[in-house]
Amino acid sequence: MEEHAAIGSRIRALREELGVQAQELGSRVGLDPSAISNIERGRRSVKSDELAAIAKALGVSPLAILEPESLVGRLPVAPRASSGTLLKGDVLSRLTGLAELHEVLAEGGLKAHEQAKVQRVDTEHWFRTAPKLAAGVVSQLERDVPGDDRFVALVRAIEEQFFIDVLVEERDTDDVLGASITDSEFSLIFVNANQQVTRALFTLGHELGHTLAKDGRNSIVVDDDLTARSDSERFANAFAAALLLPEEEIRAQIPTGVPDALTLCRLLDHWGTSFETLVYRLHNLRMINAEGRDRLRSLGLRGLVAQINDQQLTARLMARVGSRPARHTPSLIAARAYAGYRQGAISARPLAGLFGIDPHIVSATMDLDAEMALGEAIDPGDFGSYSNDDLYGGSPVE
Amino acid sequence: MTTSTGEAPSSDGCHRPVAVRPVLYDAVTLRHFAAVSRLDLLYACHNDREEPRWTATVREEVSRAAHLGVSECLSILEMSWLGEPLTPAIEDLRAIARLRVALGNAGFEAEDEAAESKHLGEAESIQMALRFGYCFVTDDNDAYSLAKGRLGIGRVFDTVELLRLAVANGDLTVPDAIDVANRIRTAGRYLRHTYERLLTPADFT
Repeated sequence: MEEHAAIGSRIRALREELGVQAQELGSRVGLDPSAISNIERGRRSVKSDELAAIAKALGVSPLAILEPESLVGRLPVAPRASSGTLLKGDVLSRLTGLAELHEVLAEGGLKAHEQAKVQRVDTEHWFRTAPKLAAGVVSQLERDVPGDDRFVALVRAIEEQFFIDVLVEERDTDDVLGASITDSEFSLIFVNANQQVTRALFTLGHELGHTLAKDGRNSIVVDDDLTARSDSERFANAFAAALLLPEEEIRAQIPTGVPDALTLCRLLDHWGTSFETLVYRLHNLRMINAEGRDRLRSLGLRGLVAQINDQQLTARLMARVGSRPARHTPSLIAARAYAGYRQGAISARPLAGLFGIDPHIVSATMDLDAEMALGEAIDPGDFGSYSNDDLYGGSPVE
Repeated sequence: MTTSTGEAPSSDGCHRPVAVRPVLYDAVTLRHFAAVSRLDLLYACHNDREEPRWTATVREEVSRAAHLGVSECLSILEMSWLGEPLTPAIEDLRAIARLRVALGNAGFEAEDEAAESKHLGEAESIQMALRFGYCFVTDDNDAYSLAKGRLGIGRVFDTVELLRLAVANGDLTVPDAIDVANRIRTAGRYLRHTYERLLTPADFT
């Protein structure tokens, strides 16, 4: 009965946190209110299909009910996006699914690589701490490349050097630019691919700021806009700006006075950021005053490039306006999932889901059955000796 | 340590030889045989094994489809030999939830009406087979591969393997087995990806 009571009280806690009445939950799952009440009080056992229905009706993972101490259980059930909007949909489901997959892989011995250590930061004093942390990150980055490839290079660097998974994919059902799981056990950055690549670059830097600062008190941060409403958001913005437009190099490229249009265009071309990010950064570095900032804002990118006489540079900058970031599968968890599939910890579907491909392609390409036929029975208690040296770096169907 | 039959106990604690242990059927395989009116073959293959023969969720899946008018599911429900379904204990729920994730049920798919029961029958069957040392029959690729990894050789079967057993037992001829398999396909149902090619007599001997 102790277990019944624990599950029941967890269901009740989640239901109340989400503001759902027992009667409403009952009608959503086809149980009368007294059955819900008895389940919540531990007087009635919950069947597996009822548990699945209750979890779905509440918009949580069943593991959030059964294992409140796990990563999935620690994730907030109703996180608020930066604008204050309650997030319930597609993006939250995707992040929850990745957290669930992490749990299953970790149980099989395929734990996440520990995130690279960085200095502890105090987001309350963001104006001082964000540039300092960004400078530290810039000094560690080995793969920061200028221009059009900067987004892709930074994604790879974050994964390879900081051991933080990055997911870039299009999610149109939620109005979310980016999000991050900032748990010490598993870190992941999500960037919505439905935004311009220059804006996505800033979102990536912003989410990296949240992740490195570990300032998501509830293990998850969701940004539906990047407006600085709190110290945490101000920190992430200042971090992203300092990361993407390093002060020393910007100052070196604008030696004296107010930058002219050609200099600004060359900066944009080199650093790959949006026009707005550059203006924000120059103002914060006091290289332009408020009047200059507002004048540039009203001019806009199109107005700026109209003032230069360099067709190739103009073409490159304008091409970025319509460009979207390419889809990116989080490679660290994909490597673990690949090892997990080979070792029998998971089936082809979760692996295929990560790559956005048909599970048949995975199972047909790496036919586990063929190995089984050779008599390689897998001990379910030992999913093998996964090593971070064995990180899988490519597509299973290449 | 050995049992009174001289059989070493398995790691799951089941002392019976694998050949006589209960077999749990997944809904997809039950529907394969029901679609061609050959549920009798399951009886012929496994009637000497004790219940249980399915789990509560698998029965519920079949029942739900029967309510929607799927005729083959009505015939499954009428098959009294399947007996009482096995209901998992509360201690099994955590493992079932994790098995569902391993089978591909990630996130809560708020907009997907069918999501709440997706892969639940397979996960429940695998967990019950693990806990009690039972065998498992499924034609779901992922459930088959995962179960084989967890349960080991000789405890997981698919439709073609059951037809092969029926041939070995003398309940079917090889041409009849090929005919049953082909009729399952013609009924719009899918055998595991291993058999996407043309089936030959070698598959059943």
